[in-house]
Amino acid sequence: MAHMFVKIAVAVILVVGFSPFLEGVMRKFKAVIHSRKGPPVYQPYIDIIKLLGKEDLRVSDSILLRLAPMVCFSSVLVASLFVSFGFSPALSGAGDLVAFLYFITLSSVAVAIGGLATASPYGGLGASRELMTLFAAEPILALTLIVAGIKAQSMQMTDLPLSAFSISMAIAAIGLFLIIQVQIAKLPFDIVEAEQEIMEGPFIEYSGPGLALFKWSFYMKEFLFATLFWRIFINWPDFRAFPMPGLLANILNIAANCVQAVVLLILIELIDATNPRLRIDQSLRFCGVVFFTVMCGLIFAFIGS
Amino acid sequence: MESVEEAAGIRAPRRARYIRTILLELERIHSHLLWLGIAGHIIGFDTVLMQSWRMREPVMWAAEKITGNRKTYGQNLIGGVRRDIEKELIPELFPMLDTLEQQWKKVLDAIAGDTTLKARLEGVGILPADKARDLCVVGPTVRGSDIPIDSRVDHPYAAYDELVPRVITFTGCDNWARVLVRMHETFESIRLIREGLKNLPDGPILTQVEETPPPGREGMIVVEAPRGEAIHYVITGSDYRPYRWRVRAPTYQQLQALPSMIQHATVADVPITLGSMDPCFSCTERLEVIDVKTHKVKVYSNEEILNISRRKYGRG
Repeated sequence: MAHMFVKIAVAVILVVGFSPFLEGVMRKFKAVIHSRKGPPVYQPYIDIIKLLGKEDLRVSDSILLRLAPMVCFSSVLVASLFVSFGFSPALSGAGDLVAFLYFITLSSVAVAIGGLATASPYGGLGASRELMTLFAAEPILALTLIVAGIKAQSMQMTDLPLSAFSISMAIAAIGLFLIIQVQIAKLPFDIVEAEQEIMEGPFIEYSGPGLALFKWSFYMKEFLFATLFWRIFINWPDFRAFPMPGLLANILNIAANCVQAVVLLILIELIDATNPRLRIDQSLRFCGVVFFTVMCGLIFAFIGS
Repeated sequence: MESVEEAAGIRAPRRARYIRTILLELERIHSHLLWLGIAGHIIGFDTVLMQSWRMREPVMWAAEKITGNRKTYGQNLIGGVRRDIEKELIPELFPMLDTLEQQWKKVLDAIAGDTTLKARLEGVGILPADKARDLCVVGPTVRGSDIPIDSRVDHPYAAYDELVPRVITFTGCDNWARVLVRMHETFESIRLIREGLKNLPDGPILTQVEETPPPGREGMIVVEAPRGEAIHYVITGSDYRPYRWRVRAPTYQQLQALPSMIQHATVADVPITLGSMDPCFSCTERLEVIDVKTHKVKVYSNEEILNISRRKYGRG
């Protein structure tokens, strides 16, 4: 029991504490592509601290408006407890894969509800875009994990990582990589916020702590998905296989995971910086293609390759 | 200025007209670079914004070297120009133009090869040629609809009778065609500046104006601003003051086409379609209501327009 609490504490500190740094690295990288100097890598921490200290202005007394950022933040946090960051997940049990999917979906739904609660036309438009994206992207995320689940003959996160190469897992990995861009709303799929079109959409009326929680949960989502990609589909290196003390191996694993997350997110940021924003219908069509591809992966998984 | 010159019957010296042409083209280059950046920003392509504004800096440097100002040149005087282009400066300007041309080619190649960008721009904001003609649209907007209207060629002013620009048109009628028109016009402007600097004639830069023009004389000039045709109309008055000065900025014309361009478009396409005509809203802050039956004309002030909109949206 005590062991579990340690794991929860480590996972929470890692996700909450490290994710703004990742965002800072991404911003810096984007600035390099732009020929800009860019903000320091610790800028997202400053942003969050500043926003948390500001007055919480509310456009309505709706309880949804107040709760949405908290629901979003906490659901991403809970979802992260099911994922391995180099050590075995803090919470684990039969079918935790489904629980993970539910919590991730909840965070998107919270964004949409928050947008609708603002009663602003931009908020409503953003919320409808968020939901459309959710319906298109969430099944793909689920499918990629189900492919891994079928290969592992289990719906438990701890059983998913397989070291052997297979066609179905390769297809699912590509599908997950493509859908991560949609999930963390990076260009060309930055459709929900689209500040030049609908002025940040669901977040238009949020300020202060509410906005800080939304932003923070997006940073956490970035880290979470990058981790998911490496730990389930690549799962290398694992220092626990080497002859060394368990604690040291775990620390090395966490460090390796952080480095890998940076690599993946920089790749995604490169795509972000070299693409304009798609329209929602074009984005949905893209999701359709990815869905079809991952379905092929599923078929491969069923026939055992 | 030329409208006043026309009214007074003055013609600026040839060197002054060349300098005016060079500055007008510098202005066009920097305006098109600025526009591409903003268009990129509107569709979320911030890399284009940052790079094209970085490339714009040397152009403004050149304008500062020539006139002493980066943007609002204050160069024109009645009868000529205020400052000469110095001989020592000309060799510095050519390398600047060369680098700009090379970088601009790279940008053109990059955006022409970007499929996502084309997906957002091609077939969006369609303005058919006949519609554009009916609505009297001007500038790069109409040239993207394959109508070769360019007042530099149609009504030559400054030194455009000697430095003849090639009118760039594209047949796409969509936002992508308007991007291409502006991209290629920039190359054309670079060429014109080179020609102008090479053939810069000697002589004075200012004709001394001996006497003021008598009141009641008219002058009108059509200038191809980067956004399109700008018209200045002057009636001279007494005491060195104009009796009437009317400006028609191109955005008046362009905005008429917007409703048909954004018909059946999604919200996501509206900003870029509006942006594709490079609107200048500060040029159009004027509302004139004409009652067709009584022929009464009422011009609304800025305050009145604000109050009308506030009442309409219930925020008054």
